[in-house]
Amino acid sequence: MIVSNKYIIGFLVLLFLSACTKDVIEPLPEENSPIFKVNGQIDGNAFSINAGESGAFMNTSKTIKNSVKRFNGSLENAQTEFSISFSDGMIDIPSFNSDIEDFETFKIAPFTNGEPLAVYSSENFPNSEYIYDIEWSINGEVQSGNILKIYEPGKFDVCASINYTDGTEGIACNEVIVGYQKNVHSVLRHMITQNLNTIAYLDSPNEPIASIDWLINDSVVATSSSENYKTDYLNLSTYRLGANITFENGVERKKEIFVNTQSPNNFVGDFSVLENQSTEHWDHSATVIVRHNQKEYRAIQNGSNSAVITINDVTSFNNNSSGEQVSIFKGTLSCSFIDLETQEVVDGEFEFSFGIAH
Amino acid sequence: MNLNDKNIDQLFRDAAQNSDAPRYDHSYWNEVNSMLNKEDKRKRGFLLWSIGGSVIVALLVSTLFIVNNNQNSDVQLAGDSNSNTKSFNSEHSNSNSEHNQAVQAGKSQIAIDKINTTNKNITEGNTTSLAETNARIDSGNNAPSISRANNGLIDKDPIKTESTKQLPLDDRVEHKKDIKDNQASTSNKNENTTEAGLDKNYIIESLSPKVVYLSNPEVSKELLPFKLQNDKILNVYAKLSAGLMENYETSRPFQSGLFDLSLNLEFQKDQVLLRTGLGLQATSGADLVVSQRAKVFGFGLTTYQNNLSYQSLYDLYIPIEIGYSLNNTSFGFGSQINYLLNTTMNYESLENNNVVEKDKLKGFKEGLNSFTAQGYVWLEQKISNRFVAGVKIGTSLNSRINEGRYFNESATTNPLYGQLTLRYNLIK
Repeated sequence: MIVSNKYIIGFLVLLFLSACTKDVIEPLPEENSPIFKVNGQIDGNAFSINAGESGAFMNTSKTIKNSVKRFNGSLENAQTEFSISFSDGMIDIPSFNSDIEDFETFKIAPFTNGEPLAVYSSENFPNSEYIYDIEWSINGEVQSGNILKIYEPGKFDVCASINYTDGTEGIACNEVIVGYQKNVHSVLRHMITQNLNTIAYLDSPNEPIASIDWLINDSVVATSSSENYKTDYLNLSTYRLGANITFENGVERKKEIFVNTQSPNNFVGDFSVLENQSTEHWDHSATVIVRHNQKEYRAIQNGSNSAVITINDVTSFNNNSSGEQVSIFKGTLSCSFIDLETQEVVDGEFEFSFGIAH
Repeated sequence: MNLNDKNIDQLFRDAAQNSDAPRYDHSYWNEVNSMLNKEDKRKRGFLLWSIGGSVIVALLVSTLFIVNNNQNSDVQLAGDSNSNTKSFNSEHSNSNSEHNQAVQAGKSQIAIDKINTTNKNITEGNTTSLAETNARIDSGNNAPSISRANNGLIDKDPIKTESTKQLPLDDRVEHKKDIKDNQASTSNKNENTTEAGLDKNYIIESLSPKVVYLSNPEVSKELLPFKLQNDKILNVYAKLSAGLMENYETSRPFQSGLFDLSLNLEFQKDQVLLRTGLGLQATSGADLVVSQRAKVFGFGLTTYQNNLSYQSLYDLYIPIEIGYSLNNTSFGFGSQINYLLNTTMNYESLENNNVVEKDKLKGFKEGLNSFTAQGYVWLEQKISNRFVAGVKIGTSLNSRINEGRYFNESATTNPLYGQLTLRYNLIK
């Protein structure tokens, strides 16, 4: 019995034709359990929310509010929300880099309950008797009324446009830092000589000056490390005199006054000092909002013990959809909460693994 | 204290309170789980052993079949020779050798009852009817009846009864040269004779159905059934099968194709057929969908899914068939073990149910078993000496889907199929 070789060869050819050509399938990521989660209770009601379950999502963002950076996270679904917002600090030192991953605790941010942090009016000016009215603007937005009230912490550009009783006008703009720690205290003052020159000086700086850019109507006319500056003769009866000051500790401040050599009482002094009306500081504090059972609560300081968030561990996670780095903050919080509608104060305690963009 | 004095119920209550209630322990579940895993392993082991055992049994049966067949052939030849030795005197021993040569040359046998069916084709020169021949053979006295039959058949009748000494004229001269050699062999075979002088094989042969031998090969080709013309027990053939199969994804019939090409061996003993071989099987339009899914928590939940929709499957297979041959028709059942060689598939990657990638890929077996089995029944009808047409209906005996990392998203895992087959005998 002989089988022709051609049959065998043909069969082998078919086998070779069926030889494999293998491409690559990307393996699926490893399954895991929820990463971002908050468990605890508020006002005796259990609270639990996990990102990825029941439609909950961990939103993270890095924002700037009132010229201050904020590092936010919000774990929420339709029924429940737990959000933390860490505030930057040392905002009068631009070069200071607040790395929030390094903090072991964050104090709970002050709760003003609708009270203004700073109030600016003609009464605050030493020459108020010559002032007819003031138009305030904040960050370029004109405010109504003669009184400016600032309710939120932040760094603002505040301008006062003053009409004097003799019909003249004066305007000056100052950088105002409300609700944050100031690392240098100083006031820009001036005097007019008999020759109608102006001597400007920085009064009572509690830190050494590194340099000052002196400006006339926004143009730099001199730079020195001296706290005094005397203008040459200026063929101007009114002008704005500014000082951009850098202190040796890194603090940078912008101050401005309005000078009227013809009517020396119609000046606008350095009103930035009014920023110190509030003693509350939001530097590196945490604003915590909880929404649960159709109620909205906010963490507050209550009593003598400082309420803080304790951070036990921080690990880098990933970038969010905006490309911002997100870290997982694991920690605990036990403090008083205020019902924002009823003003009722309740207790709450939470354990969390939370995402914060920074 | 008399027991009756104490409240028996109270005794039981006290006993119950003093003993701890059974508590659930997680280790119990682990124990049960390990037992369940063992069960699964046993099932898988059983399947593998079943398949392996079947193959081994089939091979053993095949081997025994071949060996037995060869032995029977030897016995048949020895019996023929010895029966002649005992039936005729010494002067007939030469004829015995001639007959032996005739058997070796032709190796054609046919049951007597079949002679009646072929009788009509015998040439007019046949002066002794086969019916008469049969009657003589059936009389039980072999020697005289054979002698009578020989008288009638010599020179005229191309069909010879069992002890026909006649050879075709062309062969006589050559065969006479071998007579001396055959005498020697005959003397050796006499060692198997009984005390009464009867050959053991002869006794056995006498109990077998009566047969006649065809001494004329040309006539035999016309008269005898196909399987006897070459008197072969082993056949080699190629088979091409094409048909339709249920679609895996929809379970609807006639949506997928199934094509086989195989090279086969067929062993035949009487009417019983045993077949095996090696083949390639192509399944087209299978739509065999397996998926892999992963839930990954991050800012939210992202569901990743890979869908592998296998379209074509190429298997190397070994069939084992057992059947029965009846005239030109044969039928039987069979199974085949497939080894998956290659595939083509449509790959789809989804994120949160949105397709992010699509591709056509080759050569993957992800989520599929490399080894599968099919079972079927078959029916074949001979068309010519070369070609046999047939039909085959079967199903998968085990699922193609290996449900581990992947899960099944098809409607059926064991589709039915039907094929038309065309067999080509490589040996005529």
